[in-house]
Amino acid sequence: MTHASLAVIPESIFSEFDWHKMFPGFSLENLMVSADLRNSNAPANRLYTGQFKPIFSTEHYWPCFIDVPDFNTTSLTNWEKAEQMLKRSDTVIFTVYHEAYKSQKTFEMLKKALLFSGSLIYLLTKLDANEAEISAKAIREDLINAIEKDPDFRQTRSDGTTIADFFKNSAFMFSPYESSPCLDSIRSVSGCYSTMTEHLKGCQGLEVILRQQLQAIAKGVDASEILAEKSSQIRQKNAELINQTLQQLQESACSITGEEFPVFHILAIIRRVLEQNRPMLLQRAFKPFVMLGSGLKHLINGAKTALSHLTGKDLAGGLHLRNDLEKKRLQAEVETLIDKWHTKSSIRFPDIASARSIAEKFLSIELPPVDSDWETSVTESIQEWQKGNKNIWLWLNVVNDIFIILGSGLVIADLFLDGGMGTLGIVAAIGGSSATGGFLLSLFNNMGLGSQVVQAHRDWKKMRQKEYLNHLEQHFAGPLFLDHLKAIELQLNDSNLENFSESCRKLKEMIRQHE
Amino acid sequence: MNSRQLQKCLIQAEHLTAACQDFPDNQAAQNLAHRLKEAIAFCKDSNQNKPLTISLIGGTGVGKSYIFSTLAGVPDLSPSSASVRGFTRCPHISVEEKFKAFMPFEINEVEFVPSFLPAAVLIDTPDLDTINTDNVRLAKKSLEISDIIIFVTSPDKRSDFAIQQNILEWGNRKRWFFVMNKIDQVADVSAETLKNDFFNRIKATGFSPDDSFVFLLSAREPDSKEFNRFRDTLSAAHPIKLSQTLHEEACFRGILHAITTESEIYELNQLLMSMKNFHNRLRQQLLEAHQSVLESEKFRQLSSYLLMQRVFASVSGNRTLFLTPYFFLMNFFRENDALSPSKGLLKSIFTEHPGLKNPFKDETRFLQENALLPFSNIPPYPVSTNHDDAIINQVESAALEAQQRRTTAFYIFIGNLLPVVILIQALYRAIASWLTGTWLPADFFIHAGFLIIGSTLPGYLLLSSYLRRFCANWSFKFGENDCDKLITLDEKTAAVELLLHDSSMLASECSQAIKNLQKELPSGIYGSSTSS
Repeated sequence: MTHASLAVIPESIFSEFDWHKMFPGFSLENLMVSADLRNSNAPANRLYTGQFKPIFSTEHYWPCFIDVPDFNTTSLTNWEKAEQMLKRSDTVIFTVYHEAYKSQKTFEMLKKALLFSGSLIYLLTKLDANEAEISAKAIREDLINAIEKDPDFRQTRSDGTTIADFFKNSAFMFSPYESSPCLDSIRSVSGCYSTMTEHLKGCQGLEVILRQQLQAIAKGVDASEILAEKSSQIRQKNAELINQTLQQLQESACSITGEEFPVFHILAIIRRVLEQNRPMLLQRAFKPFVMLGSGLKHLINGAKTALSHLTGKDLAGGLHLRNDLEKKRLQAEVETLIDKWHTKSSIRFPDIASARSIAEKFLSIELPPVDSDWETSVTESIQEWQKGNKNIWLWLNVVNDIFIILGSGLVIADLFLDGGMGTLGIVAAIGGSSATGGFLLSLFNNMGLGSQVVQAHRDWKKMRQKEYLNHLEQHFAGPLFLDHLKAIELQLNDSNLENFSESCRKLKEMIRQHE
Repeated sequence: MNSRQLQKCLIQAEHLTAACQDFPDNQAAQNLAHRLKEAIAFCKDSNQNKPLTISLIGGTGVGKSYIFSTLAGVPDLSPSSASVRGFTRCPHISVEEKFKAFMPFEINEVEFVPSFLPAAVLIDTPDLDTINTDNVRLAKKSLEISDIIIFVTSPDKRSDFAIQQNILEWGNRKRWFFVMNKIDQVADVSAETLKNDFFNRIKATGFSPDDSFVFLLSAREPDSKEFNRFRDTLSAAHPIKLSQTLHEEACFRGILHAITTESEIYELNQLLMSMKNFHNRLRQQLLEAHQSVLESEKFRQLSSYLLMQRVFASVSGNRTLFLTPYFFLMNFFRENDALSPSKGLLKSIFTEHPGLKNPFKDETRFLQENALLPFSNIPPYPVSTNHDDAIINQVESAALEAQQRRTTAFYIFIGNLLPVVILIQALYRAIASWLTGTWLPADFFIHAGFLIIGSTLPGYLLLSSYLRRFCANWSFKFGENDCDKLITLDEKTAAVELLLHDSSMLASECSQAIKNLQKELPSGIYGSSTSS
């Protein structure tokens, strides 16, 4: 059994022949001894080369003959070697003996040969010398019957004929069993010259080459069109998945942001704006109250800690820092998203251990910071409002300081009602308590600041949702599977697919012109 | 007909099949169950009166029909063609009239011919590698029902891949003879070389070839020594008892094949390994999460409060003598069950920690991923529950330890020393003056009383300082046993482990039984099998 292919050309052109151009990608080696062909350890891309002394004139006829290993044996690597050559041959001499012509593997390879070759010569060997021709004819009939029944042989070639018809019109030859086979003993049954030598010489070489190339292109175009169709479907499905995922991320971003009104942030800004524009005289007048408020805050914090120690209560309740709240919600949303995604087979969601690692890594990243643009725009809006309300400005400036005094009282009330306060200071404590927040908002409404506050709240939600959407997309969904979906989207973009389809159309037109 | 050992193996196989049903969505378990069911059905269907069934199988044009006809001594009993392949369109079966009922073929898809083998059925099957799918189906059906397979090949087709696949698939379930036909047509290779090559190819499929079940012959030479040896082997007496033993062996082989198929067992082993790894990973995560809770400020504050409460309450049960009023006062103001409200807080500290929730979610997800739990009807995720109890238990044991410590007794003793000394001093003065006839003024007793009361304070402060130190140094621990169990994962892991263990046990029992039966069934009469 041979394990490598051998390509030979007439000796007259051997020295000028560019093997590498003819067989790119192959490991070419000149055949020194025929035993090399039986070396089963030869690499799959090994191709032995050689030259032959033609028995007929090759002045204008330079065939390259390739002998390939068996394709139906237990040596599986041989199958690939045979197929490599089958797909690049202009003419295939399909050599088979009468015991194997109807085996599954032989049929499979015959189908491929009929699909890819420019012309085919079916050569039946080892027939009983006494009734070789009768057997050959019977076998041909049997083969044609079998092929006609097989739907796979109804595939068409580039010229529109079925491969079954192509087989019927192909050369069918036979040779009797001989201890020393020779070319002259090969006889024709149909579709060819009487001997193999004559037939080979009689073939229109260029026409065969063109036919083979057109056939190969036609097959390539067929496959490409299927590929384009599939790619388009994948692209569409991929886009749906991306949209769906972004929608889910958007919902999660909304949940994380919540509906809470960042009163403390706004109050801090208002206070800062008013502080900057307050007359010095008033600042001095209210300084004792500010100090009192600050002192009370420390006192209350200490009292709270002492009480906690004594009672063991008041630890679970209290105010939450916005960061804590958002972090908790983020954790909950991560779990919700994992639940949604890991049951979905259409996305390439990693195994749960990897998903958990990505989730842990994501949760360890700092939360997206509050956008400075929001603070700037709120500050500008309040400054604008302040400029247009000169009289109220003076009144509010006083109110600002009263907040501090009022705040002390509220903090005490807050402590006993809710059991704690945050670390953002008095203003935060006021903002965090819903009753106090409500009071302040109604106060701002009365002062004419309502629209600014409502707008600020809207902007806040919009901005935080956007930030969380980006955060989830980049650091969570991306590493999990979204980056992969986006990479597919990039590969299968519209222009790529259109170029692809356009090339197919051009190739089809070219085939049509040459047929 | 089945021996006790076979009955036992069948029961085990049924249990194994039932165990596989615990994993309705797992492909490997379901494949295993399916094959086991087939093997069990084969064993249960085996009829004592079923004749020994022998099939000739092989590729196109190897001469199966010719051998069949030659064995029968009737030319073209099963018609063959020198040129056209796939000539045998239906199995030709040589069978006695009384045994026809045992052949599971439709009447129109087989052809019965008079029997020429005593007490046995010989089937000439269509080609196994032909393009005619119906022929392949019939050939495979013949293969399935046969006890002995005669694999026929020819020198040209001895390396055919498609045929070799069938040998590999059925090698360990059937008894095999190997025949290389048409050796008279080989001119360029010596008989010895051909034989060695054939033996090597048989060896490659897992058999240990020897002359007793391998034949190199030409059916065109029916009088040759080798053909006669082949004919004699097939015509040898096949006593009913041994035929039954062969059936029994086939049953064992069928079960063994079902449970030793590489892919499923490999997949289940892989699954088990990943389950164990994931379990360890989750346990580690739980332990780390527990540790992080124990180190949190919230827990430290609450646990320290609880500990102080219990330790003081517990020490008050000791005989604290002069210090008793302090403890009495503390107990008076303390709530009856100080631990109850705190238990809720403790529970919330644990249940709110994501590290103690996520492992249970991941447990469910992992089981779903591996088709061990359905994706639909997702059960609520299990949650940790017993952490507060574990902590309360530790608080109680700390309190008990504080109460029983000798150091505590020592501090109580030291705490009482000063009031006792003052009391003794006061009594001495009072008694001494009483003996001398002088009655001390009431002021003395009032002052002495105040002094004694006052002197208890340093002792109490000393004791309470010691108890505070004790509480501060007490560290809470979370051991492996305090961790919540990953119950579902544990159960499923145990089930897969049991499944693999039981299948391994069953496999070794079947192997042993086959080994014993092989002694009764010589390969020269019944052919040979691969071991796995």
